[in-house]
Amino acid sequence: MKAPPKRFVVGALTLAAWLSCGGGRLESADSRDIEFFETRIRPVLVEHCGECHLDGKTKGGLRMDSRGTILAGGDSGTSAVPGEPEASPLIRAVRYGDPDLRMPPRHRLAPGIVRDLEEWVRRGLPDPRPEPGTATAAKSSASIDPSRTRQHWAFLPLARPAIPEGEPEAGALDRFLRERLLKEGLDFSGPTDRRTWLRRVTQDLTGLPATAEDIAAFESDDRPDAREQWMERLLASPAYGERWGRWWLDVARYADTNGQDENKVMGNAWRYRDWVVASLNADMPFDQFAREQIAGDLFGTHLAPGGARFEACTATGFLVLGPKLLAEQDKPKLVLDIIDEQIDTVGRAFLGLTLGCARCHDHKFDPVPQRDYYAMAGIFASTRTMENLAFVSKFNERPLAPEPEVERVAAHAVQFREAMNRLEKAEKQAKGKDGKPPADPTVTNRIPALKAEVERLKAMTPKPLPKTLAVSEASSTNLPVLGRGSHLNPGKEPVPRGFPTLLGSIPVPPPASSASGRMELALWLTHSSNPLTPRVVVNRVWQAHFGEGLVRTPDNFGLRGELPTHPELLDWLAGEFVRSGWSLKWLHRQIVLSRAYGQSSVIRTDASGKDPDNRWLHRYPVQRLEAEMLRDAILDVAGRLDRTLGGTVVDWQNDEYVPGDEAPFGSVRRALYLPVVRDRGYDLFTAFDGANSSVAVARRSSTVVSPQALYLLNAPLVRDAADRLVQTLKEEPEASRLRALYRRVLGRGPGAVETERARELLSDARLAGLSEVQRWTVLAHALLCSNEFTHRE
Amino acid sequence: MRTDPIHPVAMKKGPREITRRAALERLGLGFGGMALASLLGRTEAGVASPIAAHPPHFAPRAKRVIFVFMHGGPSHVDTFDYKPILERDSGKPLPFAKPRVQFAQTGNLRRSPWDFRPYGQCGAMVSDLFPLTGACADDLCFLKAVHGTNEAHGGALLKLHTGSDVSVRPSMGAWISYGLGTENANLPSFITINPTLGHGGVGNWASAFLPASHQGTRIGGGGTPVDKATIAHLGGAWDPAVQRAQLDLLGDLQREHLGRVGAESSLEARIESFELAFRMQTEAPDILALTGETEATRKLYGLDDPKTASFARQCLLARRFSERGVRFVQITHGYWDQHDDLTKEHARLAGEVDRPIAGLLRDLKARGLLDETLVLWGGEFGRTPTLQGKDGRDHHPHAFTVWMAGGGVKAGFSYGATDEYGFYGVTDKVHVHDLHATMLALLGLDHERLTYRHAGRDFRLTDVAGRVVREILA
Repeated sequence: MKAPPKRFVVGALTLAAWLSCGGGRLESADSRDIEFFETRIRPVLVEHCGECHLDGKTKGGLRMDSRGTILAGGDSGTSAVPGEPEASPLIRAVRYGDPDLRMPPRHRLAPGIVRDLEEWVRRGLPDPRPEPGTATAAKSSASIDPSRTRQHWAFLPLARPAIPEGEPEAGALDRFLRERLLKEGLDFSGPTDRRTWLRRVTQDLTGLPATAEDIAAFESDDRPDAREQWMERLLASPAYGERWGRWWLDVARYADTNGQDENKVMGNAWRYRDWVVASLNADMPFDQFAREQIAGDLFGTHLAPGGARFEACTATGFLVLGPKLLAEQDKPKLVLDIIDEQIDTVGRAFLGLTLGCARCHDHKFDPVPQRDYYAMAGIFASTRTMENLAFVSKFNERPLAPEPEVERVAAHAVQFREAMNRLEKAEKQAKGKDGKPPADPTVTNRIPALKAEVERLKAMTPKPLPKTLAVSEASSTNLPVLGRGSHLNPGKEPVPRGFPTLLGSIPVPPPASSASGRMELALWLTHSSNPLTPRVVVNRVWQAHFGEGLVRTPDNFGLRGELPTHPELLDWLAGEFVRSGWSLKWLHRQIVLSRAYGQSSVIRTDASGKDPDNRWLHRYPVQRLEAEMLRDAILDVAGRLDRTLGGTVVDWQNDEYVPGDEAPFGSVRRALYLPVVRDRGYDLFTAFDGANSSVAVARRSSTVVSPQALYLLNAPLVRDAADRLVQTLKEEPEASRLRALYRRVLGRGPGAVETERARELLSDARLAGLSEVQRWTVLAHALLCSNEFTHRE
Repeated sequence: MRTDPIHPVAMKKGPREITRRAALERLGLGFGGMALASLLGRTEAGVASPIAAHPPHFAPRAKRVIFVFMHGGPSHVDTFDYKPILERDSGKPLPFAKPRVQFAQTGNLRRSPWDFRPYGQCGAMVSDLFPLTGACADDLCFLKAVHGTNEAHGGALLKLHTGSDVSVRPSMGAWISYGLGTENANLPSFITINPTLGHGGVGNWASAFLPASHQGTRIGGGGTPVDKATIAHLGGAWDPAVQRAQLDLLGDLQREHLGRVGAESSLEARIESFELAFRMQTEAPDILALTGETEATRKLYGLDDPKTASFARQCLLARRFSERGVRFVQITHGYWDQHDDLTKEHARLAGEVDRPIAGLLRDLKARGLLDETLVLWGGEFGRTPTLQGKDGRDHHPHAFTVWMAGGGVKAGFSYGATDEYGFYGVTDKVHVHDLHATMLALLGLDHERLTYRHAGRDFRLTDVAGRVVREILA
């Protein structure tokens, strides 16, 4: 790609300057004409006429900021006659036919634009801009009635429902669920067997299959609190953070590369991923977890006691991770698109709201006026997300080191550059000019000393500081409402930075004038009187355990979302969750030890008619393993999974284009650590509904398509796992080999039919050409494809 | 649950009837029959396959699409948009303003290095870069004033393929798969051959929030030679006979398991998906091997010439997949990004594709497939009529040419015009959204009704825009 490098100053001031040219509010008028004006005429006026005729400028006495001022004209009379382009000086001027009247003076407008202006005059110059001196038009759209929509269940404060009556040993969660089941004429299924329960909970809490040894130990564990003990062991395993870290990374649209148009490596994104894993393992309270991702750099709280403040900015990588059109040459638009992506992600991730809808107009369904959007947009416009807006722009990073060290490194860089400059200058002087000897003959003598100084400083160059993807504060600015979301249509008045108004007043101070407002936004999101954040996260956790949430539209709690199946249970859980100190592990304990979670998954013909979608949880829902779990399980049963924690598995240069054509997915570390390359899907993840890493994914689909079968039948990963699995069984005596194989893959021995079918296969004529080891491999491979292996039952 | 209007009886048979040997026997029936397709398009449990064929909104003019994508942005003023005034004024400055946002600075007007001549009854002017395609002019429908919104490759590709260069959206092939399903359940509904992995990469054939089964199946790309390219994991782990024995065992184990856990429909569907995979594994390699194509056909596409062989193979594969019922096939050729060296490089690139494209058009026509197949040709943008560097042109999303053929569009027709220099569209402009709306309309889909509810909103390929260009419908 060739193009001149352009540098733009980043930050709010420039954006504000871009947005500073005129604009106004819509008045009622024929909507097609308005549309025509807004799309074809207003941008032309702003771009080609604004310099002299808008915003109080009246060159030649002409103002063009409303229909009235255009008709009033300038020093030489009216500029346009409605309906008559031929009689309108404006049209004569832009046609460039009259040498004495040419506008704009410096260049002729494109023929299409001239045609549009003619059309506009022909239509009678429809123009919704308010006349100067008149009161600003009333608000454009009243599609929603805020007072009514604020009564929507999700926006109301958390209720404190009474726990239903029930058997004394039944927990609150089960009582809520059972009350509903009984109402529907149903009841829970019986408990599942111990093997299935342990497999289920191990897969669920750690993302890994339970080993046959663990299953045997658990089956013979007769402690009364055996389940609790085993659950605690799993919650304490570092694998817990890996599994649930991935859960959050779906929402955070985590990736290691930018994707979109310029797929550049975000070489430090993994630090954010590791921060997520470590925070979840430490059971960081979720409100803190949320706050740090919005404004960790400002709170200065952090994971490890005694750690340094600078580390807390790692969490704000959340705001930088989004895909960006880095080569977009309309840089003001790029900045606004990035802000939009941030608002959309924050809205979905924490609030279950589609705030992004309000960029161009008031939200169609939810009480989110466009003004609220720009109040929030101002916060992100006052935040530095990009290091620069160069031709291919660069995302922001911050050094991971204490301030004095950062300063020391920066000072050294300055020193070195100055020394280099002195040397270069001297060398240039020593060469002389146009063959003439240097003016100062002593300059040559100074060069060795200058060289030595450069060498000395070079040798002292400090190691480059590690960096992390993070935002920082930029100068504070308020944005105006932008017509149709475009910076070419800015409103007149800036909207003070603030928060969505749909939750009413939450006692958080407004953004300080000298700061971005992220800190206040973080406090607002996690304030005890904000009911959305706890409802949304509790629902996400529920969904991860049961396949479906209590609200089945996990990223839309607005008016278009589904109603909760168990509203009292949701509010009870959300309230208790907050009172538990926002502890995710507390929530897991409630769920995993419940009767609902521990019941059998076997289909009940008596219940499926009344509850075909299992909305009332009359049985535990069978779920296909997520892509990462499936891969890790395949490697794990083959004894290949490398359980090293954290770090990165690729050695790519930061901010370089993703090298090579295929990304390196060959690592046998847990799937969590495979590079997430936005425009190169890992085939296993692509086939098995892995999360799209470019958008906040609230719920993965779980499809059944033949490419999944092709993958399991033929992918080298699976075939290789089968080979290794059989290798590990070589020492087993023939008589117990089948049992050993079944125990490895499914955590149980084979049944009679299975033993019989295995024997048939091993002696099948179609396998005559294979060695004994290969025949066993065919069998092992089939087990890896089986539903029992690929599903959580 | 949907019932099958064609084979209601077959739908009621037990699992073993449709699997295993029965399926092998059915392979003898060959491809493409609607009856077979609809039979295989759903599983025994009555769970419709996500890509089973659905009826369109209204009577379609085309059943399938072949998108011939020219990656990098071929120059419209050097190919299909003839501008005599540009020739006359070459070297002079553009007499009106350039766009507010430009990819890079360009200089004065620059004539085309190629001559143009009229072709066919319609007399369409085509440059000497495309003589053989030009000879098909009476089958082509030119859109001369197409415009996009993004001046960089990545954004422009995403806009063209997904309708959005800002947000992550399903690609047009995925929308069409979602809207119409597939005519042949043994094959994917959407195939993309040799796509670029950059400039949006997977995003250009992804399903985004649509179910994953609608994403494009990639064949090659990323430097894989086209004659080595195949569908991922299409066999290879075991000999077919061994794999058949393995599948027989697996099926038995699965059914035994199902007997224990109950008739969970997703588990039943998965049992069937293995049989479908096995059938795909049998069919697709034959298609990829070009089995059964005559010497004459191979020559027609240019497979006999090393210069054209690679793209010829893509074009021929497009026809083979398309005639077997694949709903949307995209083929990609590049890299038409001549910021410099335009004279040499555009000539080389056109030389690689002209014969294959003409071959595809003539072959489809000869087989009676052109009427029901919409062929779409274009790049992500055109190139500036003004000069960049010594011999280059810059990106130009403001006006460029796309042509269509077959599939219910007017033949030998041209719609829309650019100004005298080919810089801006002046009449009958067609935005990328309009192009999408029109393509869907040709397939019998109303772009305003083809929606998917995601995160509380009904999304469309055309977002909130799009006009069906009725003027080009035959």
